[in-house]
Amino acid sequence: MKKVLITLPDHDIATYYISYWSKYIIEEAEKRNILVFRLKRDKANRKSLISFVTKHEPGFIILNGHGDGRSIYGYKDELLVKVGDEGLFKNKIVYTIACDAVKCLGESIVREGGKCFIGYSDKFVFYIDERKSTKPLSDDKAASFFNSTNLIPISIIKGNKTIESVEKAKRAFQKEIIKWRMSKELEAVFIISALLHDLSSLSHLGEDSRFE
Amino acid sequence: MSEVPEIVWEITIARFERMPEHLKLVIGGAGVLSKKEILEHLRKRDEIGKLLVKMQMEYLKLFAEEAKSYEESFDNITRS
Repeated sequence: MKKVLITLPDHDIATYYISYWSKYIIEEAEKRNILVFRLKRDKANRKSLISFVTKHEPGFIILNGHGDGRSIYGYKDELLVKVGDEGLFKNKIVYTIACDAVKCLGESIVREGGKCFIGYSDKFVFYIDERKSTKPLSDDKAASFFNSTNLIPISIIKGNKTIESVEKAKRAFQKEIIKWRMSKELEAVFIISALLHDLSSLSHLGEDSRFE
Repeated sequence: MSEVPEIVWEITIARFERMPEHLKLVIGGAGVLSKKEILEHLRKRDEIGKLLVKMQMEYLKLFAEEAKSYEESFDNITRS
């Protein structure tokens, strides 16, 4: 049986939005009878992650949270994984929205036997509409970012290979940029610049893999 | 990022001064920034400010590429 693990910290606006928008990733996996291990809120910690990955060997790991070049953080920004934890990701596909994660951690995971690592080489940025912040899924500004980046895990879950999944997300970012380019809303220029930034830092490291 | 020319800082500040108040920028690791906080980072010329300038430059680059492409299309039409 295919297994996916996802961390869902929600202690600040960024992680709250990311976790909320992960709903569609989880739904897609469950629709396909894929076993989903959800590390929610305070369960998004280092101990639980190591325990679940070691015991259940999920083939696909989605790490939501903040990051820097060398680490990804979980609930309340406590350390989740760092350079040195590469063994945990051997033969696995890893996707993260955490900032800068590709730079050092991603390269290290792939070098030490991870199948592939997909993430952002710079800060992942997005705009929200404060008037919609209590209902993140109805925030059309945030939707432009999450509908694009979520295509990566959703496409991998659907059985597509990783490079194709990243290309789909890049095309989705481009479509959103064109959509906002046609818009007369005052917000458009700001949203376009952030979409361009995310698009340019989206990276795929390692083998073109399929989730098995 | 190499030294940012003063004019680029000024253009970026002018741009963000027009940002609607209800729009908030979320930067992983830096949190949620309001218009006021964005302008503070730009005026301080700090690392977040540099990121905002970089984003603005990426936008201007797209705009320049589009203008070039329209210009080339127009040239082709008028030539034929």
